[in-house]
Amino acid sequence: MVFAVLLVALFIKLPTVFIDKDDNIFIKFSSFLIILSIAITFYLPKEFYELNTILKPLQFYIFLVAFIISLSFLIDINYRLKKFRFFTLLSVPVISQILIIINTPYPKIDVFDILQNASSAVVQGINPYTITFNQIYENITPDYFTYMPFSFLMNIPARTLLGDVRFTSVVSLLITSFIIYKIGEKQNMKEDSYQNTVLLFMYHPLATLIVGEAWLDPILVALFSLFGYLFLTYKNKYWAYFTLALAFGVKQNMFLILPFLIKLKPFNFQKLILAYIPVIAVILFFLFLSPKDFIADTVKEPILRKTRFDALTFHSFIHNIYPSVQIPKGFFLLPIIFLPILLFKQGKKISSFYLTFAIWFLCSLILFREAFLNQYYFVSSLLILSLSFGSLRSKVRKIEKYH
Amino acid sequence: MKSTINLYLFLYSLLQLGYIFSFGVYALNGILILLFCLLIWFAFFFKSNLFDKNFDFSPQLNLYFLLNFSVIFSLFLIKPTLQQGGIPFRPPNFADVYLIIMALSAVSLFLGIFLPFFSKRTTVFLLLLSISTILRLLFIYVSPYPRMDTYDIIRLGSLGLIRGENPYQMTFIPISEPNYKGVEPNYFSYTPGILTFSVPAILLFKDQRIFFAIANIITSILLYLIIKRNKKIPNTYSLTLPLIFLFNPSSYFIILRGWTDPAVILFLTLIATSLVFNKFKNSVLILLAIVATTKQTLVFIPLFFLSYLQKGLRALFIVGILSGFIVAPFVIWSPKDFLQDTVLFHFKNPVRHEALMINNLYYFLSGSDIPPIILISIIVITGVFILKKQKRKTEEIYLSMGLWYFTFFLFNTKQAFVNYYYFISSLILLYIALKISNSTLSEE
Repeated sequence: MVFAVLLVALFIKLPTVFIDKDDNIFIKFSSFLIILSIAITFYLPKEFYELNTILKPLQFYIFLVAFIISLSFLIDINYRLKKFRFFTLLSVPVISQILIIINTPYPKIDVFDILQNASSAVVQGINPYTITFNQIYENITPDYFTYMPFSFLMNIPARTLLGDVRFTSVVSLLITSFIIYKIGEKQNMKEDSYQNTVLLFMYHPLATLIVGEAWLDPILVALFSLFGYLFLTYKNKYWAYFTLALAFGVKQNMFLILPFLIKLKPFNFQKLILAYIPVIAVILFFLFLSPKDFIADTVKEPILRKTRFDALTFHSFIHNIYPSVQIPKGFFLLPIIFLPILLFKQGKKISSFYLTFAIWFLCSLILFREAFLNQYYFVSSLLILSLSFGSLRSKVRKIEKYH
Repeated sequence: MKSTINLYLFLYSLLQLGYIFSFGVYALNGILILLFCLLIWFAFFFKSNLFDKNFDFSPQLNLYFLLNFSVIFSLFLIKPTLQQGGIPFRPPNFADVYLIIMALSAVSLFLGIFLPFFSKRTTVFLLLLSISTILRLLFIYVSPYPRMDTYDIIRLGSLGLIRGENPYQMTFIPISEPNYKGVEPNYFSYTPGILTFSVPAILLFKDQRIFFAIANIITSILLYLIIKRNKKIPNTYSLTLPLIFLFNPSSYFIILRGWTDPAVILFLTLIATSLVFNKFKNSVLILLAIVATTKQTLVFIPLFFLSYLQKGLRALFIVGILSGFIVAPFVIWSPKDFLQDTVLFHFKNPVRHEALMINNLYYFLSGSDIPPIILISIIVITGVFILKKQKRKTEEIYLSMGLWYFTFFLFNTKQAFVNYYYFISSLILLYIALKISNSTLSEE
């Protein structure tokens, strides 16, 4: 909660302490952060691993190798070695994510089960919204597929070719990294600066776990980063909007991004509508296939399910202190009040778009009925995207002008 | 100069990751991080030119980051701290006090994060200082009688001395906690210097931990004064570093268990203050004698002042005489008991395989201990090299002391726990404070 408030404050007024004229402070400070992030990955929960194979300790040792290599950030090395360090460090999280997929072939989490089975079912011509999945949790009948159709459609290649939907997440993380790299090059940022941003993104201490538990957020982040890239690169904004439409096609709550697009210049309402049409058409196809099941799974279930007091939310906070206090059901609508304020402050640039949405989404998560690690991971990834698309630099220019 | 401060702030952060999560108990991830910390520190110390110019940005950002790092991890570690073994007795209103602790920690997190935004930063600093004091006292309140030998022997030993009994002849109350099964508590394993402050502390507060909590607060104020001495730098330095010290994520655990390290750090900071302000220089020798006789491991401390103090050998001799005055009465009182408790007890003590030290890394890989002669040789050889390399500056005393004690603890033959690494972390901060104080850095 405090962090959410901090973000809002940062958004309004960036302290002069953080002025960084040419990325030098960012490059040096982020080097420290990368080393510390890798050190924190040593504390990954080991209970998650299902198979007691050699891969389990290997997971730890490859991070140890990454840690040792990362210590070279403390000294000056030549360009070729820097390049080698970057690609070696980049490969470690990817290897770690592949290892976790191999070593946890069937994680006991409903997200994995429903995605895995829905992706194979749809290839066999079965409607995922009518399936009853495997029983994972006691007393819960798994007859729900709560995500939108593109969640399983996008996972079909990984499920069919590699047998596991989680490979889509691995590829998604690589796509995001590639875009952060490319956008850094395009903006004439210093190479060290965008390389470090990529590493900060890849060494999020929970990235391996997010992939291991098959959360969809790496895919959403990849779509958001593609949006930024296409928006900046191509005059025709159709494909950029289309990526956001796909994000909505994956998860319902991604429709929340729409108000934030209006201030992002140039805004093309016609193209936006056109981009959403094919995605909505696919959604409608599944709706018409079995309206009752589709509405029950994607609308009723998310709205009517009970408040989770094990979630990382304000509700859980209050419930843990005063279990008898009942928070009004309309409480989660509170973020709507902040929306106009944030939209008013939002800049015209893409970095501001990411930052504003991240802040608002974070506030909404805290006040919502449930929010777990994957959603907070999504917010932190948006912050990294905001950084890589130049938020700090634009703020610095603003401050310099002011002074 | 900026680069050095940044590098040591980074080293401090990394060191924290090595021991705070495991509460100083052996863990593979922790020991590897500590080992690399030591190697990096050696590299900084002996090959500083390799790093000197690489991180020459304003340390304000790093200080701000580290303050937040500390308050966030402090908040995270409150529950695990209270769940650690050895606190069987709770006050009836524990749940309410726990809530107050959490609320105050959340407020400190808020204030810490927003420190750069406030115009009256000194007020926020004082507020955080007060919260930190209250938190320490609350931790003592919720753990009225921790079942731990350190707490017991210092308290009962001091009370015994007040009654005229010799602490080295006393048998303490057996502790029923699993760690102490089969241990006969007939040892007062500290050297007598500890009684010079534990007896007044118990007379004044009835619980020595209150003195340790106050010691933390005084240390932070001294750190503030040391940095504030340099008029050329912004107040971010003097306001954040003492708070980083106070919000060390394991400091509540240290206070709760009643380890003596906060007092030792206070005395070392008092010495530093006396040296930088060039006042009460004679008290340095008295304080050095108290520190050197507080714990057996601290007997080497005066060696690091050898090259700094004028007429070093003479000063060392005076410290020796003063230490003799502190120790001699107990040796004369009962030589056999004194020798038994302060020397033989430690030799007979088995290697603690749950301790956070290199020997246990080897032990868990091979099933046997590293021969002590190898470990002792490493400690001695590094000691010689560090002392040889030590420059004649106040801050260098604490830098070389920290580096050598880090080596000593990590390569210890018997034990090294959370308080040992807390001691090292505090020395790093003390070094940074002195470095800032003595620098010609100008940054507005």
